[in-house]
Amino acid sequence: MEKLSGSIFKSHLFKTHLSSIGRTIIICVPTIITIFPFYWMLIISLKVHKDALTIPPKFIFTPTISNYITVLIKMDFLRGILNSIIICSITIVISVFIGILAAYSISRFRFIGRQTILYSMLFTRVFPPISMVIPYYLTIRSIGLYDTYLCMVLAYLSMNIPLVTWLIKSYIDSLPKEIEHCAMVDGCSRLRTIISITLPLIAPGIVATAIFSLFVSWNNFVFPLILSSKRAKMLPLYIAEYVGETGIEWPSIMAASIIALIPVIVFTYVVQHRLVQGISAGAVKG
Amino acid sequence: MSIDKKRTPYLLLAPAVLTLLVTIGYPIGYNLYISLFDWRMLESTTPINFVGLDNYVNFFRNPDMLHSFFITIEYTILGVALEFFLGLILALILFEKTRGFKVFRLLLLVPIMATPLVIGLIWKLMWHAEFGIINYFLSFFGQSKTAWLAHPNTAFIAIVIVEVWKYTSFIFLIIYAGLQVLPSDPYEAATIDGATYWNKLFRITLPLIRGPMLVAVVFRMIFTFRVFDQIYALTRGGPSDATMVMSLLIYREGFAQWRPGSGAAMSVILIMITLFFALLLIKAIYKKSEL
Repeated sequence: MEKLSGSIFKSHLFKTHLSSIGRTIIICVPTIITIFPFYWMLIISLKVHKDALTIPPKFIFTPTISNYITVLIKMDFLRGILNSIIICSITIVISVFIGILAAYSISRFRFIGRQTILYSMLFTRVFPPISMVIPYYLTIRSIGLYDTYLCMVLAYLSMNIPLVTWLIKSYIDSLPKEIEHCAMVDGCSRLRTIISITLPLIAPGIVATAIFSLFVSWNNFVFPLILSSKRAKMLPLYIAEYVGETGIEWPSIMAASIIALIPVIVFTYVVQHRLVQGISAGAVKG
Repeated sequence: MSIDKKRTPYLLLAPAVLTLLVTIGYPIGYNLYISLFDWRMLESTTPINFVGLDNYVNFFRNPDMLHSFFITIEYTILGVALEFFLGLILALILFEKTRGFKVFRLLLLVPIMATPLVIGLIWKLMWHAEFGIINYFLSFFGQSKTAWLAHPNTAFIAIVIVEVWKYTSFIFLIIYAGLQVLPSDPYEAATIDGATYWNKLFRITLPLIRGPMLVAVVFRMIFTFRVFDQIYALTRGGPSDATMVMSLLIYREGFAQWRPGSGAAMSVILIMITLFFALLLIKAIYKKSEL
């Protein structure tokens, strides 16, 4: 749809008597409040231990990476990073594959039960993870899957498949059906059409979807907290456990937190234009 | 050909449906089942007793659990209302051309995506009585040191502020996106008729963006009602249960008290509330046969 954001329209809409500069100043306030905690986290992670928490705070100091080294070497943190990467990657691959199939079906076919599927997808999309953990825990304990990659991946699939299906459905919806029809009239099978026409056309959407799927698993804390303890322990759980250990090592925790946030910030930058759609998938049409 | 065509959509859906049946359908069923039992895992001698709906009845009778239920409602309403008003005002102001908007937008996006646990931890430090930067800033205004997370009232305010800080930009972005696609005709007509800014705002703009506003609010309510990570990091439900929202209570019931039956009953209640909001969302998004 063409966006009606021409200057004529805007001048009719909101004459707030504010200049462009005035608005920039206004937006600075929430932005500073938004960014400050991250800035503060970074500052503390770069300070030597004795300076880190002094009040009044030292704004001028010689930065050190010693906290990062402590975290990465002493605290077995690398294993957490590795676990997070492996579990998230497996989840993404499986949920994108399954999600493409489901999304194509919902988007391109009209069949009995389609409405029900759509509604259940929306419900599962917003399903609260905390209300699954008691059954999960009891079951995986009894079948011996506790603290394994498999149980983590299964748990994450429950959150990722509905999200991925909704997102990819919206991308397929936005493609005109005629493109596929032409290919099929020319003798392509449906499978061939999907692989060589549909998927390449929505490839950027699939990449964005994979990134949203990554956010969901990477940020999740409930599942690692309850379903893992050692072998499949992921990043957020490592960070949470530092807090519990003898006295709170704030500089190290902040360093670990920054490490956990790096992929989040990088990928937020990558998908910023699709973010509204991504975070509200299932809630906002197309 | 025709038979094949009828089967195809179901075959394509099968992997997704099967996975979700196992990963979501099964826990729902299991929750319903064990919520009917009084099961105390710490007392290994006590058998598991069938108690019917007692766990549910108990939830609404036990003052601690009821307290948690109301705390969660309060948290949700207060948090989402503040997010909504701040987000709406911001969207309305910034809708006109703003210099450098893209940079600001990117910066505003970061807290939405940031790991909630990490957010909880940095705020825990910022609220700290001794080392907290917030007390330091407040000291300029003559405020004496407050142990924010140690007192029931201030702890509750503190967790709501973190919530609002994290998700105001979510509502802002959805409403902002809604404003972008408004039709221009009503505004032209209104301008010719000499309508003021406020006339246009209340008579045209707000009614027209009702859809996106409703969706943003309901969506936020679903996710606020189940909040866990931030509060786990900030207070773990304390002090004296002042921030013990339902998710944390489920966690405590299931994995500290080891009473899965009672925890499962609460899980079912949480699922029902989510289902209610999800239906509201469906009603808000889809009118008639648009799917």
